Amino acid sequence: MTSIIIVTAITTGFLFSSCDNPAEEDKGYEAPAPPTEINTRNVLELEFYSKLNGESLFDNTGYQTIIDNISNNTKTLAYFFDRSDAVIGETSPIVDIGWKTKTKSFFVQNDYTDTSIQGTGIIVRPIINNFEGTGIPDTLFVGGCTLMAPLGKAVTLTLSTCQLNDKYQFAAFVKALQNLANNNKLILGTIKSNIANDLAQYLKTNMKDFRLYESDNQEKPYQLFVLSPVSFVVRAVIFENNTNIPAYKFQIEYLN
Amino acid sequence: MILNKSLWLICWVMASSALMGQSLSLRVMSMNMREGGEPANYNAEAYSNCIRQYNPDVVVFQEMDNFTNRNGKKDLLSEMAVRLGMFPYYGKAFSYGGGDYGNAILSKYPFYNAQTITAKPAGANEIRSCAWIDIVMPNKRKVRVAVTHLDVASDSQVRISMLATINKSILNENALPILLIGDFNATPDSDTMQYAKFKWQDIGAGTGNTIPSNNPGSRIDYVMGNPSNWIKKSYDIVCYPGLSDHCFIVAEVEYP
Repeated sequence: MTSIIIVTAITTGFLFSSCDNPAEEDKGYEAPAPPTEINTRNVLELEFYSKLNGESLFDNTGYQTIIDNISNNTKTLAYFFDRSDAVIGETSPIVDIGWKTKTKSFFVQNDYTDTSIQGTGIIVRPIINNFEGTGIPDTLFVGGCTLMAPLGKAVTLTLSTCQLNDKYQFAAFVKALQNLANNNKLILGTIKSNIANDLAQYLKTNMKDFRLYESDNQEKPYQLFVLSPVSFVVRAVIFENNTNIPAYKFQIEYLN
Repeated sequence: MILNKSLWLICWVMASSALMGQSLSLRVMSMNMREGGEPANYNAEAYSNCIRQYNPDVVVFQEMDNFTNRNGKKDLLSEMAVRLGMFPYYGKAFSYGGGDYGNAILSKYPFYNAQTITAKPAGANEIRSCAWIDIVMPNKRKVRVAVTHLDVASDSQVRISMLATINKSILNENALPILLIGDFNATPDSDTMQYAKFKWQDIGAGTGNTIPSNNPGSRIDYVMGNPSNWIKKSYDIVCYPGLSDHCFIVAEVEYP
């Protein structure tokens, strides 16, 4: 009888102590903190043009300033143009910019009708053997260029983009990025501000070995995001208004 | 309210099913540029005017230069894309004359995936490439369109080896309907084409000769399909000696 009382007391005490110190809630994956010191030889620059308001990027004012910027700046590895929409059968602004800057243009569609296409353009300098993408009509399009980044040592990267408008896209998005860590894939895109936190939470419980940067500008309908393996980290995002179209210069370090 | 939502959902499902049930219809054009466009003095406008007459969804090119000395350091493909309102993809075979030489594709619709493979089988005169793009058509059907230019070597094993490489790369990885279009440097009764027909349907079987353009006597340019139930709606050989030594193919094809 005494032993029963002792066991009961110990068990009760354990249970109470457990209640006093509840096990920490599983918050999902957390990327390790990057080193504080930046290796400038391993920093690549990418430019992302976006109004972040869900409207077409180009209007009647044209894009000559962008053409001048690309022509005069050889340091930026790739340029992204959110909502550089096109009309079927008419000159696409992104193709025109590619031709006039002697670069190569790509276009990742987000949504389309019989006559027009919404999407994000990509401009790169080299010929691209591998433009890797996923196309799931009515759900998700992701696409990106695989190229060599001239860092401290040459690193093969896939620079992709997409736009996320709804939470139902998350599962397809993660599936499209299954080999994120193995393939040095960086995804720069836009996400509706009201689901940005949901994406962060979804990724924490459905992926690992990644870093997610979100621009946290809740006052805009859209935010920028960068999803990368842990071997990359966004070091700076500089807002530039040199052209008539808002641009964000990303400085991303390859941690190796 | 619930009834309204249900009704809307039923309509959406029916509309989607109707779209997905539509056959895949595509108008394609094949152009061998002859030495990067030498017959037309590398004039993008001349080729664009020709293409515009036929309003193709996809144009594939062989012998396309990219910034070569002989073409005046021009990106002929992007210029044509701008003129025609199409999206360009360049598939480099090898470096040539201060620039690049290879195959290329223009598409009326953006592509979400694109790749180029190269090979130089034993006995080949030069490296050859096969480039392809994956497109979602407005009715949401997907299709892959590939272009190649097989080696002109006297030994058919060189072309067969390249075809085997192409088959391995583009047939095995997914179940998309595929068109393989281009200059096979082989007549219909050759060993090369007998081998090709193991996997590919000669959609234009029985149609006219394609070379030389001023008096066609041989058929060496093809539109091939996989799986083998493509339907030929129309298939025309059009000859412009001022643009190329090859006649061009303009074909309207359908996949159920």
